[in-house]
Amino acid sequence: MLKITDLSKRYEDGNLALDNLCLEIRRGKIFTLLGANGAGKSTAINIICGFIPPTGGDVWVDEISLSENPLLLRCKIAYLSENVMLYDNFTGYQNLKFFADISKIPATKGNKATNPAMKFNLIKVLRDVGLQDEFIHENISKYSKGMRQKIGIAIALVKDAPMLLLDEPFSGLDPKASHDFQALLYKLRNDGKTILMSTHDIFRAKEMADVVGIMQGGKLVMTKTRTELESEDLNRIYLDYIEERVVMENEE
Amino acid sequence: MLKSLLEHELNNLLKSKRIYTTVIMFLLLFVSIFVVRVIDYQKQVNQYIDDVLQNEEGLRSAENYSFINPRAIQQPIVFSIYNDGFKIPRVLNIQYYEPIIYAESLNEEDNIFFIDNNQLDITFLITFFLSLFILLISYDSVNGEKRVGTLRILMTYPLKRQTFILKKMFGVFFFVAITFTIPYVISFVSIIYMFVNILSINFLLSAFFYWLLTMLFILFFSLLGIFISCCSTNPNRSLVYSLLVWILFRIVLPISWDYIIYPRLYDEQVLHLRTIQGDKQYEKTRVEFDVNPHWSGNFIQYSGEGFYNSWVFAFKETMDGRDQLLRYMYDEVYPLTFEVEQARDDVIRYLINTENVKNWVFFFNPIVLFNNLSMKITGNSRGDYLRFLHSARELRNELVSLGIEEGWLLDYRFNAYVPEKYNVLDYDVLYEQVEGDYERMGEFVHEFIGDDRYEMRLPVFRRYEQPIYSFGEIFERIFVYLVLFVVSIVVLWVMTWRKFLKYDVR
Repeated sequence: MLKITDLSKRYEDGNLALDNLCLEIRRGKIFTLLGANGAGKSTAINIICGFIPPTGGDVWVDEISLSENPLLLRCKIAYLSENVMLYDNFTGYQNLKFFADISKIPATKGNKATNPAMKFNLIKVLRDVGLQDEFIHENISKYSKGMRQKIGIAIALVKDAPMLLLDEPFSGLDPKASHDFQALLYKLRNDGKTILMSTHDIFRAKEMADVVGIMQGGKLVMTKTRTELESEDLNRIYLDYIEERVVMENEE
Repeated sequence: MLKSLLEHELNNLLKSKRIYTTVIMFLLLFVSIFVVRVIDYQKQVNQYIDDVLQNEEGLRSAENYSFINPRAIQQPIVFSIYNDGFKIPRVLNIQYYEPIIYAESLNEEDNIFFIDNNQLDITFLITFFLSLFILLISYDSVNGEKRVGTLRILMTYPLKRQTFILKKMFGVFFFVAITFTIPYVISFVSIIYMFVNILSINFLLSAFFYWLLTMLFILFFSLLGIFISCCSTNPNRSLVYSLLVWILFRIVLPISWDYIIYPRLYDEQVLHLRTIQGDKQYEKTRVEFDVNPHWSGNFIQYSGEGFYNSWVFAFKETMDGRDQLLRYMYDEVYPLTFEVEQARDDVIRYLINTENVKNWVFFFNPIVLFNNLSMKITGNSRGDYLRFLHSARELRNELVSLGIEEGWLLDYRFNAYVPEKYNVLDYDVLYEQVEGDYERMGEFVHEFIGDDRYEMRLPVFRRYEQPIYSFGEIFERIFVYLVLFVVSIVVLWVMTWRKFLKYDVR
């Protein structure tokens, strides 16, 4: 479960990128963040991943706090960006093997250090995500974007993190690859993974999400469940918010 | 986890074509310089053997010459292959109260490969090429991963930022360390195989310390490259920064020292000390001149192979003053030798101290530290030259005492002299006898010396022994600077770590 309370980020130039964001996503749910560029979606994900420190608020994943135990929190999340960038000198298998090796959860009080990735058969995982056998030991530089996404998902899978953070994951994928990737995400959700996904794609958001949130000016301005959206036009709602923003900016 | 990270980093480096090419270039250069240096060392050894044989032959023939000129001959240093060091001729002539202050060449020939100020050795390879090589490997180690995007994924793993820096540092370090160590070890085994007598504890210790110093050097530059990589998000820019830093460390700073700082120190102090040395020498020469009227004069001496201009005998008229002369020389002139030598040592010590000051001033520049420390380790620094002079002087002092004691010390030089009772000839009588023909005079003297009745007595004295450094001495010479080196690495590590803590990984 992901819980975000009063999360804020003000950059050194004074720009308020995130303004008291509060959010809760239950286990086994897909939460989609919609918003224009600069709305704060990526900033939120960057803070959860630990790339940048927040100026206020906190994040919990399964009761682990970002402010108190940032290192342990990283064991609870898996991150997949728009462009899955991997080590081009290595094969798909070697990339997966490397990230599996470093997935070790550090020892805590009463718990020894463990590596959840050890329980996976890496070749099987690569097959499960749909990578063809002939590409498993092929250099990554020869992979298409869709194949890289599959490796990215495989890496997230073997990390065995309960929380998946996806930053524009469908961007640039062809229809077939998008379809395959979507199926994979459903499978992960059904396995109990919590997924937070940022996207510009309203139709994909409506189709996949259990909850959709719209961000604007660093704030979460609206959340709608799948049931609520059945009777509403998400596209219209989103465009209304965007236009409102444009009007506000013009007035300013 | 660090092990996995390290393995991955090494594999990543091994698969890079850029690095692969650079490694091959490094190995080729290493082999080329090594081969040329070994040939040069073999040549030096041959010359040394010639020098020693010539010296022994000279001492043996002292019976004919009457004049003994023992020499202190320094063995060629096998480490000249690795560090040519402070170049000096290898031979010191040991003569009575003559100050021993300058070495001379005997059979040395110039090597066309190594003219002055062009020290092509493994140290040059390390400070010039290896430093550049390390920077070329590490300049994009952090921002390169950021550009590719892998840094972001890595930072979502339970990986401390310092662990990431350690991975990068040790990755580059081990890679370069292995690249250097393999040919280094092979070169040593080859040397031991080629020059069998070389193997000793000292040789192995020096080899170890040189290797250790190189490892510190590699570690420093690995960190420096990573630090530069953290200073910019653009790998191209960090490449430019790396090259500028390399030019600063390798070219600008050493040159600024040699052409700006050092000449000032040199002008103000060394010239002053050299003036003192010159004054002392002049004073001594003047005193020497004052006592010279006691000489009988020189004439041609026949050695069997040819005629030599030498002083062989004290003549009747000067023998009366012999004891007085000896006493005067021993009490008044001989101490002046020490003063001249002391003045000379002050110059050398000042230069050594200047080099040590350079170490402190440029503690952040491993190229300077490496150059100076490696000379101290390999045994061809100015300090070693000073020690060489001191050893020869000790032998000289022994010989003077022996000469006084046994009575063969007559002139200002060592003379394997006939006993005193046979040591009297009347110059005027002899001159008349040979009718002023110096050549005949030489033949006559030679016959006189060769006569069994006037058997020559060659004093028994010890030969020069080259000083050997103990483990403790080598360590003592370099310890402070090694600590300085380690401190500079730690400081750089902290700077890199702090820089990366604030690094925007997005």
